[in-house]
Amino acid sequence: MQEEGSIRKQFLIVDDDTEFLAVVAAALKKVSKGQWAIRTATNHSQALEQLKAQPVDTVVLDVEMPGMDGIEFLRLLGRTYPGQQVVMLSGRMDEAVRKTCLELGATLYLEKPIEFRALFAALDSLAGAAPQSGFRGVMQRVGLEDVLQMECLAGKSSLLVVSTGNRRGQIYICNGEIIHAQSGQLQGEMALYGLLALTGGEFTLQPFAEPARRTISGQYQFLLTEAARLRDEAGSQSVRQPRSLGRAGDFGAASVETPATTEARGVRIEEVLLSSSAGEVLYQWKCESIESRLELFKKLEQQAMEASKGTPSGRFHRVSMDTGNSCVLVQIQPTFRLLVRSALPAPPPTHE
Amino acid sequence: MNDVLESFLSSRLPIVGLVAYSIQLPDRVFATRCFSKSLYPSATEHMLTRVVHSGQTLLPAGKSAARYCWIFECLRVYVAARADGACLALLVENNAGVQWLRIQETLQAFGELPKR
Repeated sequence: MQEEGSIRKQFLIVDDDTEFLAVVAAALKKVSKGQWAIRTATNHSQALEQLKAQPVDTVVLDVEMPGMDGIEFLRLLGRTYPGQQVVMLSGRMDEAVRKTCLELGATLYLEKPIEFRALFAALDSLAGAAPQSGFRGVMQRVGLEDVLQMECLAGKSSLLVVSTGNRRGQIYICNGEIIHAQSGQLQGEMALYGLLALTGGEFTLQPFAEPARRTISGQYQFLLTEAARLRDEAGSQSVRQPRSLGRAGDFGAASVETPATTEARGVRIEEVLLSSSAGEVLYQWKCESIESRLELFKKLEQQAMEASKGTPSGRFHRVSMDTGNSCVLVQIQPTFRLLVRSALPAPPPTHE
Repeated sequence: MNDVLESFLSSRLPIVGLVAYSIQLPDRVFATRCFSKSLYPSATEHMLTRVVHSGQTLLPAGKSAARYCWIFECLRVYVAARADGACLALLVENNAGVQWLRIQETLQAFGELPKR
């Protein structure tokens, strides 16, 4: 049992639902073993009075409030108490609202209803709890991306172990950068995107351990954006024709498909070449002209660099070409170059 | 074709996340527009022209229509290259707020425009 005199963290929960306030305050006090002081306010003026009387570590703020909504109050808090940590709670997951809240300085945007332990895990991490002991969260409530973003923003080093019924993976974060991910046979960015595409499961945040090798080098913002885009495209793709040229001409999306869906589309890999950045061939399969492919790597990198001069494009990652019948992907990474050429079988003849 | 091209994009813009576009015909750049104040229009046109040309030169699709996607850390370029040689290049931000579906639909629709 914790001593009452031990360090307490102060939270202020603002919500017009008194029943919710009572339940969540009691639950958080219990889960925190009395270490947290939970104060509540049912409207914004009460919240301002409470903050004036005594500052808190974190304000938990409901988005949908009568009168001034949570977003307006968040704006006001930003002006009145700059730097105040605010977590937004909302009954609906609206991407535009979420983005607005984060742009206005909210640290986290969580969806209600929320499991108390998940809320505790998120608040505990924000309040700077020692991660050495690890914590558990539920991805359906606290997004895996949110946790990753928190860890990266804070410049932390940790190991995120993700598990679902039949899948388990690890994401390694070192000094705020994602350096490695693995999931089954997959490693690197593809493993990361696969894990971030999971729609349910659990994660555990553990102390950092150096992986056998580092496979990811991009900025975490880029990686998370890419994961979100692939997920969006996969979602929109599921309601469209699978062979349509409307398919993203971007192998990133194709590469996170499960083998089953890839097989269903009949994708046939025709050529693979993996080389080091120095031009040493690390792996090749049915590559007819290695020299010309190595030359292609050089030219593409050079052309991309010259094309992007004078623009804030950042480092070149990859290019893909898709005709609907065949695809070529060339990926340029600091340590390796990859070419994959694949083909789709011709569509069945139509009878007019 | 010119009238069709002119009215094509005006009916589809704005698209959140699209910072510039360029329509290129086999013999000339038909139109380039840059919507972002943080980009130099000349550098943007250079980038889009170069990317279209490099893609078709280094990863040729023969006489087929093709899609190209160039991914950089902060920006990406989507190119729809038609069999008749016309190309639409879209320069898009790399962030979660981009209307990816509308980008794809625009590329698709460009490929389906009547031939020149």
